[in-house]
Amino acid sequence: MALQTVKVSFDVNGTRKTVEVEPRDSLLDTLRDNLGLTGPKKGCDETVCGACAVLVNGKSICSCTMLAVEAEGSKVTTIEGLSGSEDDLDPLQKAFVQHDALQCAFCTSGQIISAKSYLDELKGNVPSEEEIKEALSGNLCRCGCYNNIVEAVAEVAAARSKR
Amino acid sequence: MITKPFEYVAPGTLLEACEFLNKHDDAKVLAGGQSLLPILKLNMAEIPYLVDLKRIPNMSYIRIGRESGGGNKDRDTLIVGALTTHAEIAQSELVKSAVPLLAETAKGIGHPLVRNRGTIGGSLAHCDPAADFCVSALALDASMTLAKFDGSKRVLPAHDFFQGTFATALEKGEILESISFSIPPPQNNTGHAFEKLTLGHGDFPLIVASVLVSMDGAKQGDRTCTDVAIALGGVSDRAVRIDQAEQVLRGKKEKDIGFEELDRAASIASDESKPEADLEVSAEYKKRMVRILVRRALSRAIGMTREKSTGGVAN
Repeated sequence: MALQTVKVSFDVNGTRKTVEVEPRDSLLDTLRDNLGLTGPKKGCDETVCGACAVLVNGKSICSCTMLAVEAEGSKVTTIEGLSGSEDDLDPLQKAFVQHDALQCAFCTSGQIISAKSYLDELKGNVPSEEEIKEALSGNLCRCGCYNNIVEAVAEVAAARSKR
Repeated sequence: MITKPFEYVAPGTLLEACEFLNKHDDAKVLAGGQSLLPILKLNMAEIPYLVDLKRIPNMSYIRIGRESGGGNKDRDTLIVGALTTHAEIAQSELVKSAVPLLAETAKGIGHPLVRNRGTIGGSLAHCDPAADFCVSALALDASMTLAKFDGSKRVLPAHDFFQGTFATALEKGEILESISFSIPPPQNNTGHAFEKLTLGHGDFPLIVASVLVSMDGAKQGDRTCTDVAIALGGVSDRAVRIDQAEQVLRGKKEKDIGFEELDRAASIASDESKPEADLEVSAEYKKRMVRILVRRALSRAIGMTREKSTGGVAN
């Protein structure tokens, strides 16, 4: 059987991209292998660890459990799309640095993407510690930086509520 | 693991999708993909065609509808489009006020990354016997609207829709289009609770208990349990209602419902359960947990009816 390939067009970090993929290719593999965006990581590859999280139309999802063809017409944001440059980090990225919210950093891009999606949903309301933990419960950190991650997210949430 | 190749089609209308399914027996429907894609990636199933429903407009919505009950008995229903995500249901003010058990169920499915992508229609049509939505759909007597390739539609109650493990009443060329839930009248004191056993946070449930209780009568202590629904998941080849356990409480005066009655209902639910052992948990442990989860759920649900009738003060 000849393999079907499909042209998919979607917005990645503000730029329109068209890639030719097989229907079976995950969005994660396409982002990493076709588009060179290695911010989203391949951890479990089965919706358990959250290292592959990206925003699709503003909502965090596991890019390992979404086909690239499903992204047609969507707006995809990876960790690379959150900041302009190293001097222009997203407030969440800055807070993660300040709070030492990472050791090996493999899970960090997923943690920040999940936090971003959640804080955008909150629209300036201040979440409790428990609510932040629930919001990030799809992102595992094997180094165990959870306390610092929650502190970092809480700080950004508090700052947002004052805006 | 790398998924085996398949062909992908994304029809623009529901009818086209049904027609494609009618022509291709072995095609599989893709909604949010949170169950199907992991299965495909593990190569547990091999499929020649994947039919993506997400290009079909108007499959994701939450609205109030009107259902004819004959004569003056029309009643409001909550209608949810099959492609509505768990997160949308969990966050909907309309769902929270009209059918709060549905919102509570959605809120606890997996973790946020799954809830942002998974859909209610996908979950129900996948029909895992321990799926959160399948169990609550049964507790809520949900109705499924199925669209067929010839343009016709039919409506099935949840207990007819679920036929077994990963098996529904969907026929060739049919797709689950929407799900409707009856809305309890505002004067009714209804309480609900959703309890489950998982190995870890976000894991797929091993045992699920979804419970609804209605209490009638204004006076505290002099109320009667007019209706109760006890639905379980993970205890059979499909989600089930435990009629005998419900009968223990139905029609009983509130003052006659104490710990013993709740435990009797929960014990019956446990006795009726036939869970299977898996790698981590024995069948016996699951049965014991059914008793605990049902008792806890009933107690919470009844407590909720009291809070409502006393204006938010818990007993």
